[in-house]
Amino acid sequence: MSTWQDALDELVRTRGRALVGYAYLLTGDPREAEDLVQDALVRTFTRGRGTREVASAEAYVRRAILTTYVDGFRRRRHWATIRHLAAVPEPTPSDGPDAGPEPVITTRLAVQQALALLPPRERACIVLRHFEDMTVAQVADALSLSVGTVKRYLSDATRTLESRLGDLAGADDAPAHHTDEVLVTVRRSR
Amino acid sequence: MSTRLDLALQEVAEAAGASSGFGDPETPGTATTVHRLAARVRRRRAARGAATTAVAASAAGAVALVGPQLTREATPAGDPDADPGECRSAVADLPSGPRDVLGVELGQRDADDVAVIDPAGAGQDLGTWLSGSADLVVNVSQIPDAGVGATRLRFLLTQDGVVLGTAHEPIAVTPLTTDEVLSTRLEGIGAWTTDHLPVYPLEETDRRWWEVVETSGGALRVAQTVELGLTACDGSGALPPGTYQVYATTVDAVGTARGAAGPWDVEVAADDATPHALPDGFPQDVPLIDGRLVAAHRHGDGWAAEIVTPGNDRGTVAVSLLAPVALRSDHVPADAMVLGPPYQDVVVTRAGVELPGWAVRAVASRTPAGEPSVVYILTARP
Repeated sequence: MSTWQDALDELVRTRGRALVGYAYLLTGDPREAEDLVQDALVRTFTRGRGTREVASAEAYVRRAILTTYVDGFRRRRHWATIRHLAAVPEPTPSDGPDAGPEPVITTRLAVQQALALLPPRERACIVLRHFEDMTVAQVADALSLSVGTVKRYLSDATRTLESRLGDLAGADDAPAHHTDEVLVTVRRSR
Repeated sequence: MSTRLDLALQEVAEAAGASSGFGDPETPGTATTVHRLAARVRRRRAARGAATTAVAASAAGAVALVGPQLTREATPAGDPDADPGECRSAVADLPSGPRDVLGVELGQRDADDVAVIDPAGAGQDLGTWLSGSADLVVNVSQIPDAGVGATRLRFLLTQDGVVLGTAHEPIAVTPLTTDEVLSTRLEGIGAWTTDHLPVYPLEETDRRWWEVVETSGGALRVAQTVELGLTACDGSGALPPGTYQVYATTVDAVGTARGAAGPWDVEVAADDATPHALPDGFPQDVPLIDGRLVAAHRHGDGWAAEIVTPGNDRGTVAVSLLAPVALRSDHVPADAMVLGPPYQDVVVTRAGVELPGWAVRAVASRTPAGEPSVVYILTARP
């Protein structure tokens, strides 16, 4: 098997699900997330950027996922049907900031619904900042935006999310330790 | 209580990944997924390579002529006494004895770039096409005993039992096995069969590749790409719109046809040249595909439009209509998509084909009612 096919095979098998999870944060649609990942893989390996080790190839694929999404990912999806994303159902009483003793599922659902309210660039900023753990400057670089624009997107997005989720620990762009409720987080492999 | 956004996002991502079958190493479908991805990469690399070659030839002052995928045969028009398999001959004249069994499976590539293959009569037709050629895949598993000297696989486009179009491909008379194709042509990705099924390969060219495709029943096949020209064999040009039946036969060195497989239905799409009733302000200088306009409105600081039109190749056709009026550059960015000749210097970025004033994305889609369509996204260029 050629080198790039080895890398493609290994990347799909070992990191495929993580890539879909990342794409899902951006798209909010499982099928669209899978399509986005596949398109990003094809783009990356067509350009010969997938022949290195898996970690390096994955970085290129994540970048391709992001740019494709931000620039208006519409493949295989009718643009008019995207409007439903703005019509997010109200969270059930057990969801959201007042979640009861089963907060993981309910919070996850509430976050999914709240994310769907965000325009693509705001959503991308939130995902890069709080999932990819990038600095504001890195987010700006990744999205080819100014730092000020990214801050504005993050601020607007945070306001939108908090309108649904209540206070967001760690959503402030100040260092995380400024927030009392933020615990020390050991980041897991994504 | 506050929500830990980073942890919540992580939970969302992990749950989405866990519920997806994509990349699951325990799922047999993952091998198929990798096959398909590798085939798409190969295809795009081949297209980029062809464009690069054409650019090099142009730079050297040469005139690069890229011929059609299939060689048209010079057959006489309207000959009622034509030999079997020739232009204007009757399909019923094709040899069909016990030594004339021809094992051919044909398939189409849909608008989402996915190919499905089947024998004739399995309910898998060959799609609808706008551009004058059909993007097919073929697997030849048996050639007629009586056709030992077969050197070409000939496709026949017929209507009412009469051959109206022909195209042929050189074919090897010594078969490979499926395993050999997987190990030598597809470089061993996921040997999914221990069957030593014979495969008679078509002549390999720069624009042909092997791939693994599914039948509609879920079985896997190795297959080669074929671009079938939808052209009349009497020299009158493109076949008129309508449904045609495709047959395959083999032809030996002296032109004798042996064996027959088929039919599969293929449709040549009718052109709907109804003028589009575009809203005021919609750019008039953006060439849109013919069809029925179902939406056109502002989209951010640009425009969006959707046109219902048939054709597996509707997305490709829409892009090809944009190319002649697109901006061209001697320095196409490294990350730009490259179109085939003569548009290899057209700039196609992630925002689409760059026209004066607009970047235009045109993608095959479907309306909520399921009608095939092309969606245009126009983004203002600085």
